[in-house]
Amino acid sequence: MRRLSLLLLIGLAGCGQHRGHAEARALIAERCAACHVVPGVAGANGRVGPSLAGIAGQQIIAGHFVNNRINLARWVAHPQKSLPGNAMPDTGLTDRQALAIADYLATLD
Amino acid sequence: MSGAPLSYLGSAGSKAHQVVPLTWFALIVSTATCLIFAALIVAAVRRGRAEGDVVAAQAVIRGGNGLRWIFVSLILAAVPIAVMLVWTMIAIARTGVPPAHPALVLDVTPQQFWWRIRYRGALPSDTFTTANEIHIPVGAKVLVRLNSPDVIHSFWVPSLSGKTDAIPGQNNVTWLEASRPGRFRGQCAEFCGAEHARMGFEVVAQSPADFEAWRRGQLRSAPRPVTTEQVRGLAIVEYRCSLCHSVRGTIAGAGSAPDLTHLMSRATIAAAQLPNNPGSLRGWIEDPQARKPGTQMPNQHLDAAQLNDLTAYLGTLK
Repeated sequence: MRRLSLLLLIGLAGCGQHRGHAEARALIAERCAACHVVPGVAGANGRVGPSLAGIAGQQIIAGHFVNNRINLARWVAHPQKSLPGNAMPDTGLTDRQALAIADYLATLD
Repeated sequence: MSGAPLSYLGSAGSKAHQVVPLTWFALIVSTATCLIFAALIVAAVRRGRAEGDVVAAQAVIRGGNGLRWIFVSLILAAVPIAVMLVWTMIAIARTGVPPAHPALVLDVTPQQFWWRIRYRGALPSDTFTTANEIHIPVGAKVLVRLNSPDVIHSFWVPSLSGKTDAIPGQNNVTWLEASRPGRFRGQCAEFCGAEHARMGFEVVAQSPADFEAWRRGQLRSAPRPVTTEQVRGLAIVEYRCSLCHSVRGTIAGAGSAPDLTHLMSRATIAAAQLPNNPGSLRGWIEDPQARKPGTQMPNQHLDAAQLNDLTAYLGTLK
């Protein structure tokens, strides 16, 4: 019984983890889901690019840049300007949208 | 609730205008019936309780007017059923017969797991094929001819029209008439295989002028590529995609997958599963099996440079 309630608690905690960030999650579902696994976003089950589970704990993003809010947002908005010729297409996101996404990704630890 | 994409409780076309009030009537009558019966059962239970704690055997009371209650309730039940019967027959008579002189005739061919749409023009040069997005002019009666090359599918646009099956070897017809502009979601409504649930489409109802502009645009062939990326992208289309897809104006002329000549004019890809934007497009092309396991399109194993070139070219197919 205790184990069961512990499991339940963990499950509930998992539910709460991704609440909020509604705009960012809607953008991710629209723009990123075809290529990336993104925890907390329904339908984000792509396998073309890396899974973004645990990205908040990652030191380097895209193999080149220090993982911080500004670099992440810049990468999300302008991957081709950041690393010309890499596989990730320009997403057409505004800087404000990219920052919202970066803030959501920062919760994925 | 009527804001949901597949809601059948709101109408935007002449067929649905006939059916939706009937749906509401049936819904309200059946809900009321359920509530009345639940209340009667609760009342009966409480009445027995009130007369004593536990009564081992209560005598059945046969009053003088017991039978009258049965007749009254039978009549009460018969009235809404009769209304629904007549109403249903009227609705079927008004929606079932396709228009004798449609303004537009479409051949819609659902197949695992997408929708081919052929617009028939007066001349062969006015005929073109598109996929997963049906444009119709507001106020025009549109005849939809359905056939299937593989298994049974069903054509369903709840806010415009009820379901009509598409059966291999049989020509079924239905019709559409939108009463206001808008984008209405459709869905395959007969289980057809692994990706049945991800086999959607959209009906775009437009003003006659907008529709005519769209139609003229669809008749054009693809433009020549301009940049070096676009030229290399076209080469990929011609030696890979062309085995299944068509792009009019190039050597890609196969017919087993959606026509891509005006891919970028469509709002969604993969049968209304993904919004049409660079991210979705590239993710879908590279790995369609992740999004729709069992779809006919194989994974492409293109490298990053090839993907860049390919999407640069596809971006010109407006």
